[in-house]
Amino acid sequence: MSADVNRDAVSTEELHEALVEYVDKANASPRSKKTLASWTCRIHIQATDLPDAAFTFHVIKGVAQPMVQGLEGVPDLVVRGGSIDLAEIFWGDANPVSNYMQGAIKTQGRADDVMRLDAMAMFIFLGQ
Amino acid sequence: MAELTATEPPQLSRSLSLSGASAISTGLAFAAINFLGMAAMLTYVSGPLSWIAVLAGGVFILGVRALFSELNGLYPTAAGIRLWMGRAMNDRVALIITLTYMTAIVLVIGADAYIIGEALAHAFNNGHLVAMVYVTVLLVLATWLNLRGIKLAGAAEKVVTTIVVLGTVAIGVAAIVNHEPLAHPGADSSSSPLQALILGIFLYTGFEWVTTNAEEVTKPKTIQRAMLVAVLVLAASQAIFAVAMGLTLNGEQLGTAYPQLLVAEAALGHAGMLAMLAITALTAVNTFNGGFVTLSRFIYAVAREGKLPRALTRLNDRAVPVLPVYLLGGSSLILAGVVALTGSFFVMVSVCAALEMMIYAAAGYVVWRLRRQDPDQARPFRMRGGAFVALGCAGLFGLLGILASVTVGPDISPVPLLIVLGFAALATVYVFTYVPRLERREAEELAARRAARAAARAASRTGAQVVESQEGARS
Repeated sequence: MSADVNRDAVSTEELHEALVEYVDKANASPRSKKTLASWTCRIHIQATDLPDAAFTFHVIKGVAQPMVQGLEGVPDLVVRGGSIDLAEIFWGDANPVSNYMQGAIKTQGRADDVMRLDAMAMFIFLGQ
Repeated sequence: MAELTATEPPQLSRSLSLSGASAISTGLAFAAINFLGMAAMLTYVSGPLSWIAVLAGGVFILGVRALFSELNGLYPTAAGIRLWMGRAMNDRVALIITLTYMTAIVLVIGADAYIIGEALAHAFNNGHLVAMVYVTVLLVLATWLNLRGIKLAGAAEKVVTTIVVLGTVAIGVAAIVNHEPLAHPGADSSSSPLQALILGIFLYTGFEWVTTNAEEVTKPKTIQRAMLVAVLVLAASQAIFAVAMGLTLNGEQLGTAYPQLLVAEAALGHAGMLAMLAITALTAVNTFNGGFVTLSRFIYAVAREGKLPRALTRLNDRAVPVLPVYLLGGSSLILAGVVALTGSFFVMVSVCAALEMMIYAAAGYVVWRLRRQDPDQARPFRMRGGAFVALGCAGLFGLLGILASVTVGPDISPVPLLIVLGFAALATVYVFTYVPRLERREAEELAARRAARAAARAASRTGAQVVESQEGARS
């Protein structure tokens, strides 16, 4: 059983670590790189319960760029949620769409970008 | 899960403007099937008075707009319908209602394809068989464009909607100015203000789907304002065209699948008819664009949530959910074929009207329930009149839905009700038999991934401790 179960929050460092791991996994997935090859998107990720947990995730033509701490540039997409909800998604411990459908995470931006971000998680964790 | 707190809406590189959102809302409502809705309405109300039914429908729709504005303010997300129904009622019931409602969009796509096929066949003097060839070509083309990821961009959507609205108004005005007295007007056999009202409301349905674009706006009020603009535009343009249709066509002409072409032909001759044909085709651009994209992505999302088979999440190399698009194209074609064989296009109007009333009744119930459940929650938009007005809306639209489901044109018929109940029964069986299996599998997979990650972290921690102890021993 995971030690993360029943936790209410993670630290900014843990969330950053989860995001860095996620970037590595995204770039290691050939399916993700192929299907999202035309996708360029600047994503701001913000934990609502940790004031300093804000990150910029930039995907350029399907390639995930190194995670940046802080919010850089004008985003195409904003993802907000509790730190534990975000971390679980990027760890692959939670289904991002379930969290989204239940209102645990919120997005601002075009539906196409939201779908592609979810598709990236699907390629990484479900190997589709 | 952590509760989200309200935060300032961010600036986005690309966001939806009020005019863009208004065009989407208007375009989604202004489908080719609306012309058949007007024709059906004219069997209950005489032509010169038909504008009253359209405007009365608009007044009721303003109530629907208030319901959706309150819900959209609470849950400004593309998943809104799943979210607000899930909060106010049992998740299984919410899923049954959502799946049943989704069939309305398939019906509209199928009906629009059929109407355009018949309109093309009429314009070029072809028979019904050739009309079905047109329908097939249209749906294959729509499916192919969707699979290629090609869709109408914001600016093009505005242009298409503007042409549809202005073209309809221009032809409507010309028909009113040029009309001659009718020997056999449409509403001479029956007169029912209530039925006319239901069809008046039907002319606006679909406008609320713009709430699925709530995440694309940076100002929260944009969606509710866009819905208001859409209702006003739809009211004015459709009231004019309904009067024109009532003044121009007799009962027999109102019973065709292309009454709008006959109005244009009577007013402006062959050129007018061709112009109306182009406008009808453009309404389908909006329907196919909005319907295919919205519904296929929604099916994908529900499948990703683990409530529909995983095969529906398969994406092609353009990140388009392949199976939902094929399913939509295929089911619309089958539906259009059934309508062509049975000539039952007014049944489609009744089924769509009944399904839309059902969702409006559900929205009323949800607003009432959420107000009782969580009265202190911040609501960016509050429906005037309080929770009991919302409950009243639920009751009213529920009744109108039942009425819509037992009438086809001027006749009483149980067929639409049986079709709606059939859809609901299929959704119920699916939700109670198959969804639990999908949910179990999803839970097992997540648990396995959690366990694997925990094991990997434990192994890496052990490895780090071994290295530390070896280094300590060396020093």
